[in-house]
Amino acid sequence: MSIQFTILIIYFIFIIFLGILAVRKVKASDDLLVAGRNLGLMYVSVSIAAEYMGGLGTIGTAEVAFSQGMGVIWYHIASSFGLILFGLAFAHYYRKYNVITVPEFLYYLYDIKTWKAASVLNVVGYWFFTIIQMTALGALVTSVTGLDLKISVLICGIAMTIYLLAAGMWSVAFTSVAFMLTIGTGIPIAFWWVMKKEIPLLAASAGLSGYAGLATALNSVGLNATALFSPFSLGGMAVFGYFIGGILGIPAAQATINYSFGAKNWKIARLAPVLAAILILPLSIWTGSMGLFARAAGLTNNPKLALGATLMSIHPVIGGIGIAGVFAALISTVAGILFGCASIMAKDIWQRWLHPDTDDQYVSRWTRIWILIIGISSSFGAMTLPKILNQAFFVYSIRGALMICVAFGIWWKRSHPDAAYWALVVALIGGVMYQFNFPFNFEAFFKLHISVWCTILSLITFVFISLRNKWTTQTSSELPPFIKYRKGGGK
Amino acid sequence: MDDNLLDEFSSDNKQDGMIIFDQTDKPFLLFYLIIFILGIILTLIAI
Repeated sequence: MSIQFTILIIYFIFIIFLGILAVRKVKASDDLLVAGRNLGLMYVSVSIAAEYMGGLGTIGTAEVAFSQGMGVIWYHIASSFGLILFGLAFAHYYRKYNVITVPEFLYYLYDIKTWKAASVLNVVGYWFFTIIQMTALGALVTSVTGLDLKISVLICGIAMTIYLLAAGMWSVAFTSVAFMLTIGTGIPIAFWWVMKKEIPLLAASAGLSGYAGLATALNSVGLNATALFSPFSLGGMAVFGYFIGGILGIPAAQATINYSFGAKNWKIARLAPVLAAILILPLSIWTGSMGLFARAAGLTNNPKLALGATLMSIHPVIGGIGIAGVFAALISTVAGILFGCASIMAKDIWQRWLHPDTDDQYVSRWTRIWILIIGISSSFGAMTLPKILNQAFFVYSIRGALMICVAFGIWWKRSHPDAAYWALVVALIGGVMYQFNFPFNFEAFFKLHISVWCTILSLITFVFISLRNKWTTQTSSELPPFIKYRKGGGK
Repeated sequence: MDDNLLDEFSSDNKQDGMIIFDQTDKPFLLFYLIIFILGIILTLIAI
Protein backbone atom coordinates (compact mmCIF):
# COMPACT_ATOMS: atom_id res chain seq x y z
CA MET A 1 0.00 0.00 0.00
CA SER A 2 1.54 3.34 -1.05
CA ILE A 3 2.00 6.26 1.37
CA GLN A 4 -0.46 8.35 -0.68
CA PHE A 5 -3.06 5.54 -0.42
CA THR A 6 -2.57 5.27 3.36
CA ILE A 7 -2.95 9.05 3.85
CA LEU A 8 -6.12 9.02 1.76
CA ILE A 9 -7.69 6.10 3.69
CA ILE A 10 -6.96 7.67 7.12
CA TYR A 11 -8.30 10.99 5.92
CA PHE A 12 -11.48 9.43 4.52
CA ILE A 13 -12.25 7.56 7.76
CA PHE A 14 -11.71 10.78 9.73
CA ILE A 15 -14.13 12.67 7.46
CA ILE A 16 -16.88 10.05 7.85
CA PHE A 17 -16.39 10.12 11.63
CA LEU A 18 -16.62 13.93 11.63
CA GLY A 19 -19.81 13.91 9.54
CA ILE A 20 -21.47 11.37 11.83
CA LEU A 21 -20.35 13.34 14.91
CA ALA A 22 -22.71 16.14 13.83
CA VAL A 23 -25.75 13.91 14.46
CA ARG A 24 -26.12 15.24 18.02
CA LYS A 25 -27.01 18.64 16.52
CA VAL A 26 -30.13 17.32 14.77
CA LYS A 27 -33.52 17.48 16.47
CA ALA A 28 -35.89 18.76 13.75
CA SER A 29 -36.09 18.96 9.96
CA ASP A 30 -34.69 22.51 9.99
CA ASP A 31 -31.55 21.16 11.66
CA LEU A 32 -31.09 18.74 8.77
CA LEU A 33 -31.95 21.17 5.99
CA VAL A 34 -30.52 24.49 7.19
CA ALA A 35 -28.57 23.53 10.35
CA GLY A 36 -31.33 25.08 12.48
CA ARG A 37 -30.35 28.48 10.96
CA ASN A 38 -27.60 28.47 13.51
CA LEU A 39 -24.41 28.55 11.43
CA GLY A 40 -21.85 31.18 12.41
CA LEU A 41 -19.75 33.25 10.05
CA MET A 42 -16.89 30.79 9.74
CA TYR A 43 -19.04 27.68 9.21
CA VAL A 44 -20.95 29.42 6.41
CA SER A 45 -17.85 30.85 4.73
CA VAL A 46 -15.77 27.64 4.80
CA SER A 47 -18.78 25.55 3.67
CA ILE A 48 -19.34 27.83 0.66
CA ALA A 49 -15.61 27.91 -0.19
CA ALA A 50 -15.16 24.13 0.18
CA GLU A 51 -18.25 23.42 -1.92
CA TYR A 52 -17.15 25.80 -4.66
CA MET A 53 -13.63 24.36 -4.93
CA GLY A 54 -14.43 21.24 -6.93
CA GLY A 55 -12.93 19.19 -9.75
CA LEU A 56 -13.20 22.08 -12.20
CA GLY A 57 -11.34 24.43 -9.85
CA THR A 58 -8.48 22.00 -9.12
CA ILE A 59 -7.92 19.32 -11.78
CA GLY A 60 -9.67 21.50 -14.40
CA THR A 61 -7.54 24.60 -13.81
CA ALA A 62 -4.30 22.54 -13.87
CA GLU A 63 -5.51 21.05 -17.16
CA VAL A 64 -6.10 24.50 -18.71
CA ALA A 65 -2.73 25.81 -17.44
CA PHE A 66 -0.99 22.72 -18.87
CA SER A 67 -2.41 23.52 -22.33
CA GLN A 68 -2.84 27.28 -22.36
CA GLY A 69 -0.90 28.81 -19.49
CA MET A 70 -1.51 30.86 -16.37
CA GLY A 71 -4.39 32.88 -17.82
CA VAL A 72 -6.45 30.30 -15.92
CA ILE A 73 -6.05 32.45 -12.78
CA TRP A 74 -9.08 34.37 -14.06
CA TYR A 75 -11.24 31.36 -13.30
CA HIS A 76 -11.03 31.94 -9.55
CA ILE A 77 -10.96 35.73 -9.87
CA ALA A 78 -14.27 35.49 -11.75
CA SER A 79 -15.67 32.93 -9.27
CA SER A 80 -14.72 35.21 -6.38
CA PHE A 81 -16.46 38.08 -8.13
CA GLY A 82 -19.61 35.92 -8.44
CA LEU A 83 -19.48 35.00 -4.74
CA ILE A 84 -18.99 38.63 -3.67
CA LEU A 85 -21.88 39.65 -5.93
CA PHE A 86 -24.06 36.98 -4.36
CA GLY A 87 -23.03 38.01 -0.84
CA LEU A 88 -23.51 41.74 -1.21
CA ALA A 89 -26.54 41.79 -3.50
CA PHE A 90 -28.57 38.59 -2.98
CA ALA A 91 -27.75 36.69 0.23
CA HIS A 92 -29.63 38.88 2.70
CA TYR A 93 -32.83 38.64 0.65
CA TYR A 94 -32.74 34.84 0.73
CA ARG A 95 -31.97 34.80 4.44
CA LYS A 96 -34.63 37.37 5.38
CA TYR A 97 -37.27 35.28 3.63
CA ASN A 98 -36.15 32.29 5.71
CA VAL A 99 -36.06 30.09 2.63
CA ILE A 100 -34.58 26.60 2.52
CA THR A 101 -34.24 26.33 -1.25
CA VAL A 102 -33.90 28.64 -4.27
CA PRO A 103 -37.20 27.41 -5.81
CA GLU A 104 -38.91 28.32 -2.53
CA PHE A 105 -37.63 31.89 -2.99
CA LEU A 106 -39.25 31.93 -6.44
CA TYR A 107 -42.45 30.79 -4.74
CA TYR A 108 -42.40 34.00 -2.72
CA LEU A 109 -41.32 36.20 -5.62
CA TYR A 110 -43.71 34.80 -8.21
CA ASP A 111 -46.25 31.99 -8.04
CA ILE A 112 -46.83 28.30 -7.61
CA LYS A 113 -46.20 27.20 -11.21
CA THR A 114 -42.81 28.97 -11.31
CA TRP A 115 -41.81 27.34 -8.04
CA LYS A 116 -42.81 23.88 -9.33
CA ALA A 117 -40.96 24.37 -12.64
CA ALA A 118 -37.83 25.61 -10.82
CA SER A 119 -37.99 22.68 -8.37
CA VAL A 120 -38.13 20.05 -11.12
CA LEU A 121 -35.37 21.72 -13.19
CA ASN A 122 -33.11 22.01 -10.13
CA VAL A 123 -33.57 18.41 -9.03
CA VAL A 124 -32.95 17.00 -12.52
CA GLY A 125 -29.93 19.26 -13.14
CA TYR A 126 -28.30 18.58 -9.77
CA TRP A 127 -28.98 14.85 -9.94
CA PHE A 128 -27.04 14.61 -13.21
CA PHE A 129 -24.36 16.91 -11.86
CA THR A 130 -23.94 14.69 -8.78
CA ILE A 131 -23.33 11.67 -11.04
CA ILE A 132 -20.80 13.54 -13.21
CA GLN A 133 -18.87 14.85 -10.18
CA MET A 134 -18.91 11.42 -8.51
CA THR A 135 -17.21 10.03 -11.60
CA ALA A 136 -14.43 12.65 -11.30
CA LEU A 137 -14.02 11.79 -7.62
CA GLY A 138 -13.83 8.06 -8.40
CA ALA A 139 -11.23 8.73 -11.12
CA LEU A 140 -8.99 10.57 -8.62
CA VAL A 141 -9.26 7.76 -6.05
CA THR A 142 -8.54 5.20 -8.77
CA SER A 143 -5.43 7.09 -9.90
CA VAL A 144 -4.03 7.02 -6.36
CA THR A 145 -5.21 3.65 -5.08
CA GLY A 146 -5.21 1.57 -8.24
CA LEU A 147 -8.68 0.31 -7.32
CA ASP A 148 -11.22 -0.34 -10.05
CA LEU A 149 -13.09 2.87 -11.02
CA LYS A 150 -16.48 1.34 -10.18
CA ILE A 151 -15.33 0.27 -6.73
CA SER A 152 -13.83 3.72 -6.06
CA VAL A 153 -17.05 5.46 -7.07
CA LEU A 154 -19.16 3.11 -4.95
CA ILE A 155 -16.99 3.53 -1.82
CA CYS A 156 -16.96 7.34 -2.10
CA GLY A 157 -20.68 7.54 -2.88
CA ILE A 158 -21.77 5.33 0.00
CA ALA A 159 -19.42 6.99 2.52
CA MET A 160 -20.66 10.43 1.55
CA THR A 161 -24.29 9.34 1.75
CA ILE A 162 -23.73 7.88 5.24
CA TYR A 163 -22.38 11.09 6.71
CA LEU A 164 -25.01 13.24 5.00
CA LEU A 165 -27.71 10.96 6.39
CA ALA A 166 -26.41 11.58 9.89
CA ALA A 167 -26.93 15.32 10.08
CA GLY A 168 -27.51 16.92 6.66
CA MET A 169 -26.25 20.51 6.58
CA TRP A 170 -24.58 20.14 9.98
CA SER A 171 -22.53 17.24 8.57
CA VAL A 172 -21.57 19.37 5.58
CA ALA A 173 -20.58 22.26 7.87
CA PHE A 174 -18.50 20.04 10.19
CA THR A 175 -16.70 18.25 7.36
CA SER A 176 -16.21 21.51 5.44
CA VAL A 177 -13.95 22.79 8.20
CA ALA A 178 -11.70 19.73 7.73
CA PHE A 179 -12.00 19.97 3.95
CA MET A 180 -11.06 23.64 3.92
CA LEU A 181 -8.11 23.01 6.21
CA THR A 182 -6.95 20.22 3.88
CA ILE A 183 -7.47 22.21 0.68
CA GLY A 184 -6.05 25.43 2.15
CA THR A 185 -2.89 23.76 3.45
CA GLY A 186 -2.41 20.62 1.31
CA ILE A 187 -2.51 22.28 -2.10
CA PRO A 188 -0.28 25.31 -1.25
CA ILE A 189 2.24 23.06 0.55
CA ALA A 190 2.43 20.81 -2.52
CA PHE A 191 2.76 23.92 -4.71
CA TRP A 192 5.58 25.29 -2.54
CA TRP A 193 7.39 21.93 -2.61
CA VAL A 194 7.12 21.70 -6.40
CA MET A 195 8.41 25.24 -6.91
CA LYS A 196 11.26 25.10 -4.38
CA LYS A 197 12.35 21.45 -4.37
CA GLU A 198 11.20 19.74 -7.57
CA ILE A 199 11.86 22.37 -10.22
CA PRO A 200 15.62 22.66 -9.43
CA LEU A 201 15.85 18.87 -9.91
CA LEU A 202 14.74 19.16 -13.53
CA ALA A 203 17.76 19.00 -15.83
CA ALA A 204 16.23 21.71 -18.02
CA SER A 205 15.79 24.20 -15.15
CA ALA A 206 19.54 24.88 -14.79
CA GLY A 207 19.17 24.35 -11.04
CA LEU A 208 16.92 27.38 -10.62
CA SER A 209 13.84 27.23 -8.38
CA GLY A 210 10.49 29.05 -8.50
CA TYR A 211 9.10 30.63 -11.63
CA ALA A 212 12.61 31.43 -12.93
CA GLY A 213 13.41 27.69 -12.96
CA LEU A 214 10.00 26.81 -14.41
CA ALA A 215 10.46 29.39 -17.20
CA THR A 216 13.92 28.02 -18.02
CA ALA A 217 12.57 24.46 -18.09
CA LEU A 218 9.61 25.41 -20.30
CA ASN A 219 11.83 27.34 -22.74
CA SER A 220 14.29 24.48 -22.98
CA VAL A 221 11.55 22.06 -24.07
CA GLY A 222 10.60 24.42 -26.91
CA LEU A 223 7.71 26.25 -25.22
CA ASN A 224 7.26 30.01 -24.86
CA ALA A 225 7.38 30.61 -21.09
CA THR A 226 6.59 34.33 -21.43
CA ALA A 227 3.36 33.53 -23.26
CA LEU A 228 2.42 30.71 -20.86
CA PHE A 229 3.02 32.92 -17.80
CA SER A 230 0.97 35.80 -19.19
CA PRO A 231 -2.27 36.41 -17.25
CA PHE A 232 -3.93 36.92 -20.63
CA SER A 233 -2.72 33.65 -22.17
CA LEU A 234 -6.31 32.40 -22.63
CA GLY A 235 -7.54 35.47 -24.53
CA GLY A 236 -10.27 37.97 -23.68
CA MET A 237 -13.25 35.79 -24.64
CA ALA A 238 -12.25 33.03 -22.23
CA VAL A 239 -11.88 35.55 -19.39
CA PHE A 240 -15.26 37.05 -20.31
CA GLY A 241 -16.73 33.52 -20.27
CA TYR A 242 -15.37 32.92 -16.76
CA PHE A 243 -16.99 36.15 -15.53
CA ILE A 244 -20.31 35.31 -17.18
CA GLY A 245 -20.14 31.87 -15.53
CA GLY A 246 -19.39 33.40 -12.13
CA ILE A 247 -22.15 35.99 -12.34
CA LEU A 248 -24.81 33.67 -13.78
CA GLY A 249 -23.80 30.49 -12.04
CA ILE A 250 -23.57 31.47 -8.40
CA PRO A 251 -26.42 33.68 -7.13
CA ALA A 252 -29.10 31.03 -7.82
CA ALA A 253 -27.00 27.85 -7.36
CA GLN A 254 -28.61 25.96 -4.48
CA ALA A 255 -25.61 23.75 -3.70
CA THR A 256 -23.23 26.70 -3.33
CA ILE A 257 -25.41 29.25 -1.59
CA ASN A 258 -27.65 27.19 0.71
CA TYR A 259 -25.19 27.60 3.60
CA SER A 260 -26.16 31.28 3.65
CA PHE A 261 -29.75 30.13 4.24
CA GLY A 262 -28.49 28.38 7.39
CA ALA A 263 -26.72 31.50 8.71
CA LYS A 264 -27.68 32.82 12.15
CA ASN A 265 -28.79 36.13 10.66
CA TRP A 266 -28.80 38.03 7.39
CA LYS A 267 -25.61 39.95 8.18
CA ILE A 268 -23.68 36.68 8.45
CA ALA A 269 -25.40 35.42 5.29
CA ARG A 270 -24.14 38.52 3.48
CA LEU A 271 -20.58 38.63 4.78
CA ALA A 272 -19.73 34.89 4.62
CA PRO A 273 -19.68 34.60 0.78
CA VAL A 274 -17.22 37.52 0.69
CA LEU A 275 -14.86 35.68 3.06
CA ALA A 276 -15.34 32.51 0.98
CA ALA A 277 -14.37 34.49 -2.12
CA ILE A 278 -11.07 35.49 -0.48
CA LEU A 279 -10.33 31.84 0.36
CA ILE A 280 -10.84 30.54 -3.17
CA LEU A 281 -9.03 33.42 -4.92
CA PRO A 282 -5.44 32.03 -5.07
CA LEU A 283 -6.31 28.38 -5.84
CA SER A 284 -5.61 28.46 -9.57
CA ILE A 285 -2.16 30.04 -9.00
CA TRP A 286 -1.23 26.83 -7.12
CA THR A 287 -2.97 24.29 -9.35
CA GLY A 288 -2.04 26.13 -12.58
CA SER A 289 1.66 26.24 -11.64
CA MET A 290 1.61 22.50 -10.87
CA GLY A 291 -0.07 21.92 -14.24
CA LEU A 292 2.75 23.80 -15.97
CA PHE A 293 5.32 21.81 -14.00
CA ALA A 294 3.79 18.58 -15.34
CA ARG A 295 4.30 19.92 -18.86
CA ALA A 296 7.86 21.16 -18.30
CA ALA A 297 8.81 17.85 -16.66
CA GLY A 298 7.06 15.81 -19.38
CA LEU A 299 5.08 13.85 -16.77
CA THR A 300 2.12 13.22 -19.05
CA ASN A 301 0.72 14.03 -22.47
CA ASN A 302 -2.84 14.16 -21.16
CA PRO A 303 -3.74 17.62 -19.74
CA LYS A 304 -6.49 16.07 -17.60
CA LEU A 305 -3.87 14.11 -15.68
CA ALA A 306 -1.52 17.09 -15.13
CA LEU A 307 -2.28 17.73 -11.45
CA GLY A 308 -2.51 14.06 -10.47
CA ALA A 309 0.74 13.25 -12.30
CA THR A 310 2.56 16.09 -10.52
CA LEU A 311 1.33 15.07 -7.06
CA MET A 312 2.16 11.41 -7.66
CA SER A 313 5.67 12.25 -8.88
CA ILE A 314 6.86 14.36 -5.92
CA HIS A 315 7.81 13.34 -2.35
CA PRO A 316 5.13 10.79 -1.30
CA VAL A 317 4.17 12.53 1.96
CA ILE A 318 3.90 15.99 0.36
CA GLY A 319 2.17 14.44 -2.66
CA GLY A 320 -0.20 12.55 -0.35
CA ILE A 321 -1.11 15.79 1.47
CA GLY A 322 -1.68 17.48 -1.88
CA ILE A 323 -3.85 14.61 -3.11
CA ALA A 324 -5.84 14.76 0.13
CA GLY A 325 -6.40 18.46 -0.67
CA VAL A 326 -7.69 17.68 -4.17
CA PHE A 327 -9.78 14.80 -2.77
CA ALA A 328 -11.25 17.21 -0.18
CA ALA A 329 -12.09 19.71 -2.92
CA LEU A 330 -13.89 17.05 -4.95
CA ILE A 331 -15.76 15.33 -2.13
CA SER A 332 -16.94 18.60 -0.56
CA THR A 333 -18.40 19.62 -3.91
CA VAL A 334 -20.15 16.29 -4.53
CA ALA A 335 -21.54 16.23 -0.98
CA GLY A 336 -22.80 19.81 -1.38
CA ILE A 337 -24.49 19.06 -4.70
CA LEU A 338 -26.02 15.82 -3.42
CA PHE A 339 -27.33 17.62 -0.35
CA GLY A 340 -28.69 20.55 -2.41
CA CYS A 341 -30.50 18.14 -4.72
CA ALA A 342 -31.97 16.16 -1.81
CA SER A 343 -33.09 19.38 -0.05
CA ILE A 344 -35.15 20.54 -3.04
CA MET A 345 -36.50 17.05 -3.66
CA ALA A 346 -37.55 16.53 -0.03
CA LYS A 347 -38.76 19.99 0.88
CA ASP A 348 -40.20 21.41 -2.33
CA ILE A 349 -41.35 18.45 -4.38
CA TRP A 350 -42.01 15.72 -1.83
CA GLN A 351 -43.36 17.67 1.12
CA ARG A 352 -44.70 21.05 0.00
CA TRP A 353 -45.94 19.94 -3.43
CA LEU A 354 -46.98 16.29 -3.01
CA HIS A 355 -47.61 15.92 0.77
CA PRO A 356 -48.40 19.42 2.05
CA ASP A 357 -50.22 18.46 5.27
CA THR A 358 -47.41 16.56 6.91
CA ASP A 359 -45.53 17.20 10.13
CA ASP A 360 -41.89 17.98 10.87
CA GLN A 361 -41.02 14.37 11.68
CA TYR A 362 -42.27 13.35 8.24
CA VAL A 363 -40.04 15.98 6.58
CA SER A 364 -37.00 14.81 8.58
CA ARG A 365 -37.63 11.18 7.64
CA TRP A 366 -38.12 11.92 3.95
CA THR A 367 -35.14 14.26 3.77
CA ARG A 368 -32.98 11.35 4.89
CA ILE A 369 -34.75 8.94 2.53
CA TRP A 370 -34.10 11.28 -0.41
CA ILE A 371 -30.45 11.73 0.56
CA LEU A 372 -30.22 7.92 0.53
CA ILE A 373 -32.05 7.51 -2.79
CA ILE A 374 -30.08 10.23 -4.59
CA GLY A 375 -26.75 9.16 -3.04
CA ILE A 376 -27.09 5.48 -3.92
CA SER A 377 -28.64 6.04 -7.35
CA SER A 378 -25.93 8.56 -8.23
CA SER A 379 -23.23 6.11 -7.13
CA PHE A 380 -24.63 3.41 -9.39
CA GLY A 381 -25.18 6.01 -12.16
CA ALA A 382 -21.51 7.03 -11.90
CA MET A 383 -20.43 3.37 -11.99
CA THR A 384 -22.27 2.65 -15.23
CA LEU A 385 -22.29 6.21 -16.62
CA PRO A 386 -24.80 5.70 -19.41
CA LYS A 387 -24.10 7.79 -22.52
CA ILE A 388 -27.39 9.62 -22.18
CA LEU A 389 -25.89 11.39 -19.16
CA ASN A 390 -23.57 13.46 -21.31
CA GLN A 391 -26.58 14.62 -23.29
CA ALA A 392 -28.80 15.21 -20.27
CA PHE A 393 -26.19 17.17 -18.35
CA PHE A 394 -27.17 20.35 -20.21
CA VAL A 395 -30.10 20.77 -17.79
CA TYR A 396 -27.55 22.11 -15.33
CA SER A 397 -26.86 24.97 -17.78
CA ILE A 398 -30.31 26.35 -17.10
CA ARG A 399 -29.26 27.80 -13.74
CA GLY A 400 -28.59 31.09 -15.56
CA ALA A 401 -32.35 31.30 -16.21
CA LEU A 402 -32.98 30.88 -12.47
CA MET A 403 -30.57 33.74 -11.82
CA ILE A 404 -32.56 35.94 -14.25
CA CYS A 405 -35.80 35.12 -12.40
CA VAL A 406 -34.27 35.80 -8.96
CA ALA A 407 -32.55 39.06 -9.97
CA PHE A 408 -35.53 40.55 -11.80
CA GLY A 409 -37.91 39.38 -9.08
CA ILE A 410 -35.93 41.31 -6.49
CA TRP A 411 -35.26 44.51 -8.42
CA TRP A 412 -37.83 44.94 -11.18
CA LYS A 413 -41.32 45.82 -10.02
CA ARG A 414 -42.92 44.78 -13.32
CA SER A 415 -41.63 41.21 -13.07
CA HIS A 416 -44.60 38.98 -13.87
CA PRO A 417 -45.12 35.39 -12.69
CA ASP A 418 -45.89 34.24 -16.24
CA ALA A 419 -42.58 35.77 -17.37
CA ALA A 420 -40.63 33.77 -14.77
CA TYR A 421 -42.40 30.52 -15.63
CA TRP A 422 -41.96 30.91 -19.38
CA ALA A 423 -38.36 32.08 -18.99
CA LEU A 424 -37.61 28.69 -17.38
CA VAL A 425 -39.63 26.73 -19.95
CA VAL A 426 -38.09 28.56 -22.94
CA ALA A 427 -34.58 28.07 -21.50
CA LEU A 428 -35.29 24.35 -21.22
CA ILE A 429 -36.66 24.08 -24.77
CA GLY A 430 -33.79 26.20 -26.13
CA GLY A 431 -31.30 24.05 -24.21
CA VAL A 432 -32.76 20.84 -25.68
CA MET A 433 -32.56 22.28 -29.21
CA TYR A 434 -28.96 23.44 -28.65
CA GLN A 435 -27.90 20.13 -27.14
CA PHE A 436 -29.41 17.98 -29.89
CA ASN A 437 -28.52 20.38 -32.75
CA PHE A 438 -32.16 20.77 -33.70
CA PRO A 439 -32.82 22.13 -36.31
CA PHE A 440 -29.16 23.23 -36.78
CA ASN A 441 -25.87 23.50 -34.90
CA PHE A 442 -26.47 26.46 -32.55
CA GLU A 443 -22.95 26.38 -31.12
CA ALA A 444 -21.34 26.73 -34.53
CA PHE A 445 -23.81 29.41 -35.64
CA PHE A 446 -24.02 31.66 -32.57
CA LYS A 447 -20.61 30.88 -31.03
CA LEU A 448 -22.19 30.83 -27.58
CA HIS A 449 -21.85 28.39 -24.70
CA ILE A 450 -25.09 26.58 -23.88
CA SER A 451 -25.46 28.32 -20.50
CA VAL A 452 -25.11 31.76 -22.12
CA TRP A 453 -27.53 30.75 -24.87
CA CYS A 454 -30.15 29.58 -22.31
CA THR A 455 -29.68 32.76 -20.27
CA ILE A 456 -30.15 35.05 -23.29
CA LEU A 457 -33.32 33.18 -24.27
CA SER A 458 -34.74 33.40 -20.75
CA LEU A 459 -33.81 37.10 -20.48
CA ILE A 460 -35.62 38.01 -23.71
CA THR A 461 -38.65 35.91 -22.73
CA PHE A 462 -38.76 37.37 -19.24
CA VAL A 463 -38.58 41.02 -20.31
CA PHE A 464 -41.03 40.57 -23.20
CA ILE A 465 -43.75 38.87 -21.12
CA SER A 466 -43.29 41.20 -18.15
CA LEU A 467 -43.76 44.24 -20.38
CA ARG A 468 -46.74 42.68 -22.14
CA ASN A 469 -48.64 41.18 -19.20
CA LYS A 470 -50.26 43.08 -16.38
CA TRP A 471 -51.14 41.80 -12.95
CA THR A 472 -54.82 40.82 -12.73
CA THR A 473 -57.07 39.11 -10.23
CA GLN A 474 -56.41 35.88 -12.09
CA THR A 475 -52.65 36.36 -11.66
CA SER A 476 -53.10 36.89 -7.95
CA SER A 477 -55.13 33.71 -7.59
CA GLU A 478 -51.95 31.84 -8.47
CA LEU A 479 -50.04 33.48 -5.64
CA PRO A 480 -48.87 31.37 -2.72
CA PRO A 481 -51.17 31.44 0.33
CA PHE A 482 -48.89 33.74 2.35
CA ILE A 483 -49.25 36.70 0.04
CA LYS A 484 -52.73 36.26 -1.40
CA TYR A 485 -53.89 39.32 0.49
CA ARG A 486 -52.18 41.35 -2.22
CA LYS A 487 -54.91 40.19 -4.57
CA GLY A 488 -54.99 42.32 -7.69
CA GLY A 489 -52.09 44.46 -6.55
CA GLY A 490 -48.93 45.18 -8.50
CA LYS A 491 -45.50 44.10 -7.37
CA MET B 1 -39.71 43.31 -4.41
CA ASP B 2 -42.07 44.67 -1.80
CA ASP B 3 -39.97 45.78 1.19
CA ASN B 4 -42.96 45.79 3.52
CA LEU B 5 -43.63 42.20 2.58
CA LEU B 6 -39.99 41.38 3.13
CA ASP B 7 -40.15 42.85 6.64
CA GLU B 8 -43.20 40.71 7.32
CA PHE B 9 -41.39 37.49 6.40
CA SER B 10 -38.11 38.41 7.99
CA SER B 11 -37.51 36.95 11.41
CA ASP B 12 -34.52 39.14 12.14
CA ASN B 13 -35.25 42.50 10.63
CA LYS B 14 -34.24 44.29 13.79
CA GLN B 15 -30.57 45.08 13.57
CA ASP B 16 -30.07 45.44 17.31
CA GLY B 17 -28.34 42.44 18.81
CA MET B 18 -27.50 40.91 15.45
CA ILE B 19 -24.04 39.56 16.12
CA ILE B 20 -21.61 38.68 13.33
CA PHE B 21 -18.82 37.22 15.49
CA ASP B 22 -19.59 35.40 18.70
CA GLN B 23 -17.54 33.26 21.08
CA THR B 24 -17.95 30.10 18.98
CA ASP B 25 -16.56 31.90 15.95
CA LYS B 26 -13.26 32.86 17.55
CA PRO B 27 -11.44 29.52 16.96
CA PHE B 28 -12.68 29.54 13.40
CA LEU B 29 -11.52 33.08 12.85
CA LEU B 30 -8.07 31.91 13.87
CA PHE B 31 -8.44 28.91 11.56
CA TYR B 32 -9.47 31.17 8.70
CA LEU B 33 -6.52 33.50 9.25
CA ILE B 34 -4.05 30.58 9.46
CA ILE B 35 -5.22 29.19 6.11
CA PHE B 36 -5.20 32.61 4.51
CA ILE B 37 -1.80 33.70 5.83
CA LEU B 38 -0.20 30.27 5.24
CA GLY B 39 -1.35 30.36 1.61
CA ILE B 40 0.11 33.84 1.07
CA ILE B 41 3.42 33.00 2.78
CA LEU B 42 3.86 29.73 0.85
CA THR B 43 3.04 31.47 -2.40
CA LEU B 44 5.48 34.31 -1.78
CA ILE B 45 8.39 32.09 -0.75
CA ALA B 46 7.74 29.69 -3.63
CA ILE B 47 7.98 32.41 -6.27
